[in-house]
Parts: sequence; C-alpha cells; structure tokens
Amino acid sequence: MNHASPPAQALTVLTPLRPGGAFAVKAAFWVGDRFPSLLNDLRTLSFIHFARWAIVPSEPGLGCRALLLFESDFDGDWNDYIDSFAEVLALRMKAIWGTSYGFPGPRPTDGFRAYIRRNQLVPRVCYAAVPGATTTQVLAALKLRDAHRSLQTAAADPAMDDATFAARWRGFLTEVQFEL
Amino acid sequence: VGATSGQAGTLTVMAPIRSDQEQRLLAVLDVLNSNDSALGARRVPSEEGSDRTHFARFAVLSALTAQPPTFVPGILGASRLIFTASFDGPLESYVDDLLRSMSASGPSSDGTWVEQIWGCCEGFPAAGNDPRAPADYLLRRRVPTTEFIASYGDSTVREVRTALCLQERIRGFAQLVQGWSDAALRSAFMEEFPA
Repeated sequence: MNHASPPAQALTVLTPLRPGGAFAVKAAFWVGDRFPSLLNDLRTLSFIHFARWAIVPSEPGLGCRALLLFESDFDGDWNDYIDSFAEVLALRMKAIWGTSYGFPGPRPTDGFRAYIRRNQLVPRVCYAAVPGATTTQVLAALKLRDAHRSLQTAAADPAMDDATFAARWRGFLTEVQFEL
Repeated sequence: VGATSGQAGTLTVMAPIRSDQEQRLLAVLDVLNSNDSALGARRVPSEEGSDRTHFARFAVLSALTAQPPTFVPGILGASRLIFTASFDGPLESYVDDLLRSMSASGPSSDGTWVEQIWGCCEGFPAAGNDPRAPADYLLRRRVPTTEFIASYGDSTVREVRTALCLQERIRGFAQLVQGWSDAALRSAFMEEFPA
C-alpha cells in the first residue's frame, strides 16, 4: 500500500470525539482564525503542502458520536512530521486532539506518534499533481517566476542598453540564487 | 484559514460501501493505484485534463480504533469509502469536472471509474438517470471542512507546474550563458523568454 510518491506523504487520521468534542474543536479553530498570530508557529512548518481538519457527524452505523478527520500532505519523514507537530504546536494539538478519546497529549512524542499511528488510515490510492516537488521547491519556483517577470519586461524595454540588462541579469541571479 | 485558503478548496466525501461490494471496490482501487505506478507518476487517470487537483486520495474505513469503552470497538455498520482532494476553484464545478473526467475511462470494459468506484456505495444513482444525480450524491455525502491550511493556496495546479518548468529553464539558461557578452546574453534571453 502507498502513502504517496516521495517526497510528499499522505496522512489521514480519524479519531472518535468525546461528547462536546465537535463544539470544542470548532471553538479552537474559531479562536485561531480570529487571532492569526496564533497560527504563526504553524506557518513555520514549511513541509506542509495542505492540511485540513473536518468533523464527521454521527450517523447510523458509524459506531460513535462523531469523528475528527485530519489530513495532511507533507514532505519528508513521518516520524519527523509528527514530532514537529508535537514540539512546535503542542498547545494547538492539545486543544484539537484533546477532544478525542485516547489522546495521550503531544509530549512525550512517543505516545503521540503511537496514537496517530493507531488511528491513521492508509490510503489505497494517492494522487499528487506534482509528485516530485516539495513545498519548499514549489514556493521557490513561484517566487522565482515573479522575479523573472520583471526581468522579462526589462529585456523588452528598447530604452535599456545591453550592459544595463546584463547587470539586471546578474542582480536577478544573486536575488534568486536560493530559488534556483 | 477556514474552509478555503486563497483560491484553493478542499473536498471530503464519505460514503457507506455496500456490504457485498467492498472486496470488489478494493480490487478496483488497487487497479487504479497500480495504473498510477505504471505511469510513473501518481495520476488518477480520470483527473487528467481537469488539472485542478493538487492532491487526492481514496481510502476505505473498515474499523475504528481508540473507541471509548462504552462502544463496541472497531465495529462499523458499514465500511466507508473516503475520497478527499485539495483543488482549485469553486467546489461545485470541481465535482462536475471530477465526475466528467472519471467517466471518460475505466479499469475495464465493465464500466467507468465512476461506476466501478462510486457505484459500490450505497445510494449512488445508477447511470442513465438524472445527469446531476452523481454530483448531487457526492455533495450530499460531503463532510464540510472545519479548517484548511495551504502553503500555496493562491496558486493553481497549472501555475505551480508552469513555475516549476520555468525554474528548470532558468537554471539551464543560467548555466548556458556564463561568460557570454552582454548583447549575446540579452538576445538569447529574449529568444528563450519572450515577453
């Protein structure tokens, strides 16, 4: 079975919510949305392509009140990913997964990893539009594209002489050296 | 932050699998997965052309762990097919695109990917009836997203692919023109990257 093509990996976790858990999860995100500074630590996790949480409502046959679904597409090693969440986002993880049965807390990370591993759902099929690209590579390419546009405009400017353009080119390379 | 991020959205569909169809569904999903591997890239064949899906996956939920003791552990009334995707643009048109492209081909002559996958789920409408019925089914079985985070939600799949290709071209060009005169550099640049 597959998670995803390297380097992107897929993580899907489903945990049964405690009574009142759905409300608590929504409240935690409501606070996060209104105080964006609380999300700054999340933005430091540059290996996340996409991540989402959803509450699966209770329905006949599902066997519990409601479920918390977490999904993420990320780069790198599974253990490192879970550890980063536990270390960088400990309070948020506690606020979110503390609403589910069996959550041991983000630290020590051994227990958190075991909890995620026990509740993760291995996908049968994974799709990635650009399977070989990390988040860092994508962001670098987008930044490079923007810088390159202004250089294209300069190259087409008849008022600019060749020497000035060559200087712009060298400046461009210096500016984007980490994006190449 | 919220259910969308930039222009990107997310879709989660959870549908009960007909009890006599689970093994068949698993086999079809494995065919889909092995086809992806054969292509050398993870592409859901049906999504070719729609070009709006960043990431997608199919999973089957057959049992739950970490159940509270008051519930019967690990038992579901019916297994669930879970489909999730991160995509570009409005949800409704994405579902239409997805179904259209998944209907264009299939794992065998027995039916399209839509029929072979979603047709294993309870209540999925049979082909030939209301053309809106499959999309309505997926939207009805949709699980709303509570929170969505995207590192590049302002950029579409097409923009990401184009930017990565451009990056490669610029890298190659930079190596090629080392030591060239100013005039030759500019001329080559304008030829390679016309405004």
